[in-house]
Amino acid sequence: MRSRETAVGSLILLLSLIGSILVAGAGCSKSSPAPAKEMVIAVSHQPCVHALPTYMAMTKGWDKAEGFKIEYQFYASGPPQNEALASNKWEVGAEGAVPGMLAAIRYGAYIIAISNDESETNDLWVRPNSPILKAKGVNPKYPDIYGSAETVKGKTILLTTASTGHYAVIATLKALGLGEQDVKLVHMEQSQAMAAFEAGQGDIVQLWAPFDYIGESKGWKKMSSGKRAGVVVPGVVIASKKAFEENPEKVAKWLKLYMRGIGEMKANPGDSAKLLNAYYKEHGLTLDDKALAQEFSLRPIFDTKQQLALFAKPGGAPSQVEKWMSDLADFFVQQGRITPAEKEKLMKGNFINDKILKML
Amino acid sequence: MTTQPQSSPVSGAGENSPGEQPQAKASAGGAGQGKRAMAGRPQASGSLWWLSLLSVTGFLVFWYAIVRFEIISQALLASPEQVLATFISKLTNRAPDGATLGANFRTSLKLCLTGYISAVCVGVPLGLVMGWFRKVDEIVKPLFEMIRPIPPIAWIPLAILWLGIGLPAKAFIIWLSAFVPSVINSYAGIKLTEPVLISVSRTFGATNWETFLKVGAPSALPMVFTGLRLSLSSAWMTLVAAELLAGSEGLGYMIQMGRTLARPDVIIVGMLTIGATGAAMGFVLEKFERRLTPWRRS
Repeated sequence: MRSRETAVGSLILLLSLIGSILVAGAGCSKSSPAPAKEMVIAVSHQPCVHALPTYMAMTKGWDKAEGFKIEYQFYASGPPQNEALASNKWEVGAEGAVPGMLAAIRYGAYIIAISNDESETNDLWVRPNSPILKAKGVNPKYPDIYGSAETVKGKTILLTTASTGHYAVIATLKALGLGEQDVKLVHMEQSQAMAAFEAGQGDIVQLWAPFDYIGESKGWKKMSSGKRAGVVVPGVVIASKKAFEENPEKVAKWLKLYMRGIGEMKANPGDSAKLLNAYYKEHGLTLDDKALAQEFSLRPIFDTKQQLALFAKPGGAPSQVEKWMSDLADFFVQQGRITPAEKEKLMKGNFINDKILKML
Repeated sequence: MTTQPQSSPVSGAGENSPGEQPQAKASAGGAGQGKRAMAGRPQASGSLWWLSLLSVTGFLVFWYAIVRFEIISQALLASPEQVLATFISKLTNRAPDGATLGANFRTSLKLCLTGYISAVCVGVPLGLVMGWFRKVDEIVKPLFEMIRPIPPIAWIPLAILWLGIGLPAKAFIIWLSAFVPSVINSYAGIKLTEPVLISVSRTFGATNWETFLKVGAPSALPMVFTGLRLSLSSAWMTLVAAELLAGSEGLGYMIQMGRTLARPDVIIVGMLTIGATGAAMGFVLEKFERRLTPWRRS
């Protein structure tokens, strides 16, 4: 009798579990970001300058003037942003090249534009008394990199692995004739890396904006960057597979506003910096005027014409954006983070696509 | 001077009359109570093994089906066979997080045991002493009560400043999470020492210290072991947070990389490895407890 009761109890428990997971699964797979009546577009961003065009459109009411509404979503970094993409929570957004690449490979998202060139703001920093600063341009091909193989070898580098910052670190080591095995790499998230470096840990810290501006304000010296080491780190604008394939007009409508914002940033960097300051403050970041100005001077942005040129495939050759993403993907393949087949999927799957840009 | 076990306990455990169950025992010691209750039942587990098999098989079939029929997208949940393939691959392959499963496991085990063992080495004696000696209780309790509710992850910035980015800082985060249950349960356990046993001990001329060592501490063992098991669970649960601090390998790091690289299969392999290891260590601890506290079998 007791056995039967236990068996029935267990089966009820199992069925409850199945029911719960089904409900959760249905919630994950079928949730839609857009309410029925008004034309709404779900846009995702991070605490980064590449959110500014969207923020500008919302602040200035450009979206309403164009007859739709931006549903803004904020994510602290790329991984949660991509998780939300997998759950179909947003349609368009901007993120770093690494999450952008992974969004294309894993979730079939499309890279539809370049938000900015982040090569100079993915950088490596040392303390002002570091012996690394004693040598500069040891390799004449990279005249702006500080340090030499001797002064960098054996050093501890605090970095966020599997990121564009990691890409800049490896490019810097390569420029100095070193490899990953010659240094000690310690993975840390950006804020923790800053705290640890400030507490005296590590010899070199890899940062990206806006953390690097904070590092500079503490007196740390920039040793190298992606740009100085000869690699390009683009920020990418993404459209979800569903939005791109089922509603390209809506995506184009938003991208038009985004490009308008970029145009405004190019034309009026002073006013745009004030707006960026307001955006950062809303998300708990405070940057001084110098740092805000650097957000514009160190991070080139591209208008529609320039974007089309970057995506163009002269004579069927790979576009500039494809070359950048291919180099980044190669780095990830070398690191074992993605497989060659996944790189192939990225490059041949038409995920780097100027269809929306051409609709503007 | 004789000091009775006090009624001013940590987490309200001892503010009960002798007949009441203290809060720590009711919550933290739930496993122990359940065990006692089960001890009174006819032992039918031999004939019900199929239920465990059924639940595991049913779960695996269900998991397979929801992924196979895309009730949940593969982007969100890896299938069982994909997880198995990743598990097998990770035994020899460093990709995608940079270390094999074995290397990750060893790193995490070392970290977890360092934090756990140091926590119980401090926590159990402290809980026993606090529960027996009122002055110690009055001195330690306010500090302990302030520290107890702070989530271990909140200590990460200070841990970096104080201990750097190596093993000590990460072990400290685990130490904090494992320390609290071992103190609370040891405290509650010694508070529940039978007054008759204490009286008998004193009647035979034992000093308070002797009574503490030979009567109080042994009688607290069942609750101490409950605390050890809870501490072990807490230690493993905090592993991912601790390995967020810094590192280049470990199961928590592997899970984080799985997240960064959008690889649910890698995440699940890491989770299952942590779960299986925690369960195995819990099992060993239970066997050890049975040997040390044979009176509990009845």
